[in-house]
Amino acid sequence: MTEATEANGLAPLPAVRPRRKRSGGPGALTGLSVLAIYALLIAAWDVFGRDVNPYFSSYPSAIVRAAGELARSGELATALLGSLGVLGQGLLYTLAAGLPVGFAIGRYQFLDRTFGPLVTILFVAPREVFVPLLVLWFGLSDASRVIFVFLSAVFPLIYNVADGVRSVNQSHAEIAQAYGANEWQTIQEVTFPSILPFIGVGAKQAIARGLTGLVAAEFFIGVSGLGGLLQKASALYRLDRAFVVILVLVAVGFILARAGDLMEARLGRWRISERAY
Amino acid sequence: MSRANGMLEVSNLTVSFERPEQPDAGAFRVVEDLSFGVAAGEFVSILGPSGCGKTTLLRVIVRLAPAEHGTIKIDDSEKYAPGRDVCLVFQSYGLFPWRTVRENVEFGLKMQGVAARERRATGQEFIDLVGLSGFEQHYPHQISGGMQQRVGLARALACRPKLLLMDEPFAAVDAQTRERLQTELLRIVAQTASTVVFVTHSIQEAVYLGTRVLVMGARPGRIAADLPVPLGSERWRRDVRLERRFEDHVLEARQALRAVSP
Repeated sequence: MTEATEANGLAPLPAVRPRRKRSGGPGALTGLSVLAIYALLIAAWDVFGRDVNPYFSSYPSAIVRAAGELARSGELATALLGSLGVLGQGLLYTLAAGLPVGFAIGRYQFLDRTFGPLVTILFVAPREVFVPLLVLWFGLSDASRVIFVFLSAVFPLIYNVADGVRSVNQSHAEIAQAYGANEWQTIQEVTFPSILPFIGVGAKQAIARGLTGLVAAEFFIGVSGLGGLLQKASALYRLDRAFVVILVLVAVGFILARAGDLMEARLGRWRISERAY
Repeated sequence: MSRANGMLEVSNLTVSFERPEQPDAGAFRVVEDLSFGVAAGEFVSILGPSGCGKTTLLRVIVRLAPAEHGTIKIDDSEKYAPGRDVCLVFQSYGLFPWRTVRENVEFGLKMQGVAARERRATGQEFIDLVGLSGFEQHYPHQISGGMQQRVGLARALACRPKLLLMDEPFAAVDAQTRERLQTELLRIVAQTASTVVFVTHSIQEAVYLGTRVLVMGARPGRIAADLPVPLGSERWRRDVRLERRFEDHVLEARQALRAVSP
């Protein structure tokens, strides 16, 4: 009976993730008015934008037309696929290198002392300093660009993973050992779940920096991909095309940022819920 | 103080801690030449002033801290396995916040490599035993402190250890929950025929739960008194706390504790 009394005082909690609540009526109204304001702005731009010198600006219906052209000619798809390929490879290597390196630096004090400061320096250094070396070593190739994306993205991941390993609660590790866990099991059952939220944060930062790194690489290391298409369009004063590429890049960025947020929330679920407690 | 048929046999145990901040002062002796035995089916309460090495003793038994000298035998063997032969219930529950109630209870079994299906069945049995049916999918932060310690108890019992160690398990819960948990612990221990070593600060708790109360002295820790508490078995069925002789045993323990407290 006692457990029933104790249970009764407790409301069942189905959802672990705290959700932001939107009030129904006024919220929907705000959303509509925001849409209306944007529609008005775009319409005004379309009307008055035609009077501006097309070498310096463009306007929505021209941009839509340019988007059609770029889509039909296949230039947009080629550029997008090229960019995503470089970004994907760069992020893949980031994950493959960042997790073990971050883990090792966090776990072994000697490695932390030796390489920790280097990671911090490289984390805050402007990545563009690597461009001349990369071009010299790997030429104006995809390899150079992939490495540049990798160099942009890997340090926040290493930094966060190492931080996560350092902040593993030692008493959790002891409890695991008291229940017969060997070293590998302790890493698997305690260290890994403990650092998941940190991996989420690091991966999110890596994605964001990887994307900016991608565009920078496409500007500075040979003209290619979406960044290259943007540069070509501006060089030819095709501002309508430039806007198309900008919008695509913004969309890619938005989708990746959302993916990063989701990943962070998912991996950090228990930590978030623990904080709420 | 050794007994025949000993489930736990601690002989001449000495434990010291290095003090890195004062390397010249030498090691700090927490426990010195400590010996006692626990027979199968006994419930031994260990009572002592703060810093007498009670917790250290339990940590050494589950090999979280090294012994400097002496031997520890469980079921007549020095080669016992923590998590299989002996399980510790922690003061601050020690649950893994990223694991559900079920996953926490199954933890020890998983470490032993028990197959998932068997783990599930055994885990459920002990979740039911501690009265947590329906909370299997909850995370620790979603349930009360008292319920969290039930999970801690179920996790330990699910390994079916020969010896159950408890380190002030109810220190962090409120007084009412604490009394209820004490009574339930007696029921659960009887149902599982467990042998228990229970460390506590509370004299009432030590006498209420223990079939025997060991009083430890401090600096260095040693056994100062060994008091049998013959209040009969099946104590959870009636509240012995209402009986005069319960008070007599509390008084006896209090005097023994006073004698060793500075």
